[in-house]
Amino acid sequence: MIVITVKDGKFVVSSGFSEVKELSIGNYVKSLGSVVLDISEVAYIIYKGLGKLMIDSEELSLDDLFTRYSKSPNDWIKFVVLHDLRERGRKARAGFSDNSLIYEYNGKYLVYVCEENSPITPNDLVSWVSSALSKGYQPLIAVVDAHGDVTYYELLNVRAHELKEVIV
Amino acid sequence: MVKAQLVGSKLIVFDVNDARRIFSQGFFGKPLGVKKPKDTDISSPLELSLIEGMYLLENKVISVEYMGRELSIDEFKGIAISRVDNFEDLYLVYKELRKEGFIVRSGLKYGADFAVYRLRPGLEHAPYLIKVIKFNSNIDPGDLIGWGRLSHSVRKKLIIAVIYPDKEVSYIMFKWFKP
Repeated sequence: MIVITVKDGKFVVSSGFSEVKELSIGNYVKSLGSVVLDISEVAYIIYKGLGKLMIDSEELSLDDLFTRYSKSPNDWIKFVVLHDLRERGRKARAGFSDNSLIYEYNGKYLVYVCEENSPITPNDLVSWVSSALSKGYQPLIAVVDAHGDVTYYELLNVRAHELKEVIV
Repeated sequence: MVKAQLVGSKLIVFDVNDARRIFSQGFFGKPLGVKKPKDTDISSPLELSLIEGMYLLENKVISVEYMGRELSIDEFKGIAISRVDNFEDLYLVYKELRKEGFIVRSGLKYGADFAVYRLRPGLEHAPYLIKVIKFNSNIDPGDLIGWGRLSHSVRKKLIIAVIYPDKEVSYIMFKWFKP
């Protein structure tokens, strides 16, 4: 059973390291001497009953987690997409920003998480594609609709002349 | 040079022989009353969009008459800007794709700005749909799903042409993906 606590505002694993390693989530932070998790990863652990978040001897629920600790409007949808990917058998984990996830399966993917009714700009997408490619990842976008369903698209940066070849 | 008459937001080539010549040069415009033009052997006047007209005018294929006189390129452009939303951005993309040798036609029926053919209508279905969007405009991700689903259902790839202030264009292609 994974046990997580909060230290210096971070979600820190206090026991269950082998289970965390098996899940392929979190990052080891030397100064804390432990593995630090993202809120989406903590939510997944709580939701799947794989562990618990303990604060002052009190076990927090999923509701408590988001009520007390959510700082970004993307936290929930990031959890939704992380859960969706894991249900599909992909070992998704938190990415490099508050709206990104990463996973590896026949390639390395950086997933831009967004939701219906929360506008983005085309420039966000262009920057995302460049950023993902520069880090060695293939860029994906995951759109969460009003009902929580997730649709994925792969994003390709193309030049006009390249369209002469059929891109499938 | 072929004479085209500006009528509202269309240019009309009334002479049928001229219409056939323009149409056969690259599937420009739409022969009056022909729903899906697949052949260049047409026998009716030709309707050109103002975007197509600008391209043909710049390339000295047509001259444009309006209220009894010939318009300069700048005069025509001014009118086109006033009559077509986002004319300059649309034309920028249209011109680039035409210069690359693509046949570019309206994508309106697919909810896009352009449908792009590598060969020609009749020989292939347009493989690409293009939406032209300014770099800093807002997109609802829900619309992305709608565009993507529509293009997928008609077996076309959706491409967003992103326009920057320096008139650079970035093309982002969307491919439906199953993780």
